[in-house]
Amino acid sequence: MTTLTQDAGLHVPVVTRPAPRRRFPAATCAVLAGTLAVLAFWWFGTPAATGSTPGGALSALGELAGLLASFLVCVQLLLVARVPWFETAVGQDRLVSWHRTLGTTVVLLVLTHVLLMIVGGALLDSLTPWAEVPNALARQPYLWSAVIGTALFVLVGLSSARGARAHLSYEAWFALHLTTYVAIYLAFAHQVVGGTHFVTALLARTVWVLLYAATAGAILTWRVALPLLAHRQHQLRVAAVVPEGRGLTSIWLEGRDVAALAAQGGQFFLVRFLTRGHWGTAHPYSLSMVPTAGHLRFTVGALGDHSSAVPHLRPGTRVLVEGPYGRFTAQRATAPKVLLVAGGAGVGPIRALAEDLLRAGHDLVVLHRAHDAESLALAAEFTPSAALRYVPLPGRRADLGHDPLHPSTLRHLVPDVAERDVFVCGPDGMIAAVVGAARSLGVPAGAIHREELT
Amino acid sequence: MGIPMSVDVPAPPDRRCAELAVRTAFSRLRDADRRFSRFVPDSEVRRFDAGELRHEDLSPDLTEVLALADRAGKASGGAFSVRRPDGTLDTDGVVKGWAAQRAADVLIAAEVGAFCLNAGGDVVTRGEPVPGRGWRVGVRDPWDAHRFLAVVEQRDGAVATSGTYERGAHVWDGRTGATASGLASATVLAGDLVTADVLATSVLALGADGVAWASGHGASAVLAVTDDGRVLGDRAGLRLLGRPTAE
Amino acid sequence: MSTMRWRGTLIYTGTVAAIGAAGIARFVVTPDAAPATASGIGTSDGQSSSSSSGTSSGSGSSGSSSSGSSGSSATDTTGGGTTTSDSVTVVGSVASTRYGNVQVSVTFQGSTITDVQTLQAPDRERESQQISARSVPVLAQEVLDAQSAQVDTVSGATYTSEGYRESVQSAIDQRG
Repeated sequence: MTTLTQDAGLHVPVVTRPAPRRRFPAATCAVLAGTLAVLAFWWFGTPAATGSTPGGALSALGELAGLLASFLVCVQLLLVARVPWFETAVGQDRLVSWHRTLGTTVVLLVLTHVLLMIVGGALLDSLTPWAEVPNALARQPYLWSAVIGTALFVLVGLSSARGARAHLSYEAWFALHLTTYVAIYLAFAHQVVGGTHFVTALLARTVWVLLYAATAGAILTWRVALPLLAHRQHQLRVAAVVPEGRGLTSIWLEGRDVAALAAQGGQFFLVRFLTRGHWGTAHPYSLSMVPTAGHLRFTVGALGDHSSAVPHLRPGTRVLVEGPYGRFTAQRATAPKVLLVAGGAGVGPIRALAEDLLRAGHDLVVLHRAHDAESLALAAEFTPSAALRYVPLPGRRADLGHDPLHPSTLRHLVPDVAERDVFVCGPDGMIAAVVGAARSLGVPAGAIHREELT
Repeated sequence: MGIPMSVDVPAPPDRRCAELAVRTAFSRLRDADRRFSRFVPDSEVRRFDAGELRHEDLSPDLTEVLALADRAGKASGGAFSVRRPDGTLDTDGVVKGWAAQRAADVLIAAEVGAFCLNAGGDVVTRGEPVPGRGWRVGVRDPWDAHRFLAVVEQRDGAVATSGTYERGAHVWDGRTGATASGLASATVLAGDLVTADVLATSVLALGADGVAWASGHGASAVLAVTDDGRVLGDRAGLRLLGRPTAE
Repeated sequence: MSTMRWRGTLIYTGTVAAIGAAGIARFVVTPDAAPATASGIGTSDGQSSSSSSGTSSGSGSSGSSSSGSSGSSATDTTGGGTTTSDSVTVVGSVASTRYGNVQVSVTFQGSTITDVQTLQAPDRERESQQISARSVPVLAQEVLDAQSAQVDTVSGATYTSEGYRESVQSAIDQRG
């Protein structure tokens, strides 16, 4: 990672630009409201007398932790159910990010719940915690399956932690991740059948079951049923596979009613090739051009197991796509002038974005970073014009002796950068460098848009 | 029915489980009261009585209760009847014990250990409240709420009392339609509360003859007090009173 | 992947703090109504629907016949008014309690039950044979006086709410 230093005495021109609008966090409000509802449900279902003994108090708090964890599990699932409302309100990349965040929270809450129930129960029954465990297992309904489900859930959580995730292939990780559904199913029964807040309250049981049923319904609808229907509608197939310079390959898809997908430049799809070796994975691939009436194009770098198998795909292979996703689109631009920075496979979405921005009348400067001149994929498609200036920047930083994206170089290349929106896509390190440089040159945070390549 | 119920679980092995079970037991009793009450306008009993429900529509519970009532009626020669003299369906004589036994079943199944359940004076006991002795159940003197006719010690079993001193003459003789008279109270001990409750009501309806009758129909002990204060009992019942038996 | 690494843990910590606060508010701040008894649960008094629709026997104390039974005198379904319905046998569905299955089949002729078969029942009969061995009289005269507090529970005829309050059972319950 480049260390950023600020030059002393950088002159930052004062620019007026419309203040970027903040997105109203409707989704956050909904989740908070739900959490408060769960809290209220616990409150009114727990008599104050329960807390007169420490064991009773701990057990009651353990139940609260369990209720919150169970509710947040539904939120977690809904985040990745690919519900269109969430996608437009929050954005696909942030949905995944929050799904991961909540995963940590939920696993920790579940473990807290288990601990509190054991300790609380042990105090109530005057047993050691060690003896309380078999006691509870023998007496509470469906507790054995809840234990198995919890263990599975924790295992899935551990496998998704950053350290472990790196050691697993995507397929192995995903297969393990799918067992979450089993874990949730196993742990559900002990809640409504054994939970003291549910046992005598038919309404509460009904609401809880409906919550889970609605979540399952959302998943089945938007992750299974609708993509299958779309597949039948569009009949996408691989049309051609074209190498695009070192390490990058373009895949052309053809099909019907492609325009109905309503994809914009900069967006991505989850692409699943229906052929041996590719069935199991849906990869996020960004469009590298705005779709025409009958064609889509993705330009893919060699990342992960499957991307390296992509050049060997045969034309005619059927393809299932879900999307479009992503908010890395031309609509986000807040100024008439725009700077686009592409690195590696990031040139794909930048190329598609440029098409939309040009069509909308923006003035573009495109900086294209690559290791060497042969790796400047799609360079020929950036036709220079009055509205488009294309600047290739090949060469490793070690060979060049400097960093082409250093703030001073950037200011030299693009003197009016402070007046431009910045769209950057490429490796993480490059994005961080560009964002830091742009900020230091006076570009407001709301005018910088980024897309990480997963 | 308006039954007060109290439950005593002295030493549950798992207290949370026991609390859960007790709550469920109460809700089961409240549920039965709602469904079988003569006074709740749309209770199942009222609706069946009014002809709104057909036999096939009845819930399994009501079907079972009616079947129990019918068996009891046959066994008592008609003295026990769920049809009041004016024709209304009145299941109180069997439902109270039935509902309380159902509530007790919850506690038994939850393995809460020893317990004592008292629903409106009908009692189900199980186990030992303290190691070494059973539950002490006092049988109330009809004329003095603070005195007992007898105190029975039992571990597993049920005790039901039917009497005229609280609700007046509310039990009728199904054979004649007249209100039963002759006995001020009848107490029956049996293995389960349904049997005890039905028998206690039947004994009250049958009068003094009912004492001997009941011991042949599933009662393990019978105690009764006539209106003029004589205490009657079958052999087991007399033993409970400390009276020397004929043999 | 440059989102906050510890966001999940931070949210968890906040949630735990909220749970703790809820516990304090519920158990410490709100005054404690019923002190728990030392031995087990003690007694829970469940007045079932004593307030609703006159179920308490206030209206029924004149237990004899007519008064108080609202509206049912009009419809008398037992009067044999129903004509020749064939006998109908209804098999009740299994009352699926976890505490035992009960299933009864009932044959109706008109509105009269003519036959009953018990198909399944929790096996309670066995207990009644054992019971007589276990019911032991406690005879000492002083025990028969309620003041001696030796009785765990009282069997009596159906209580009205008022009768209950005065009764010994109530005293036992309050004593815990």
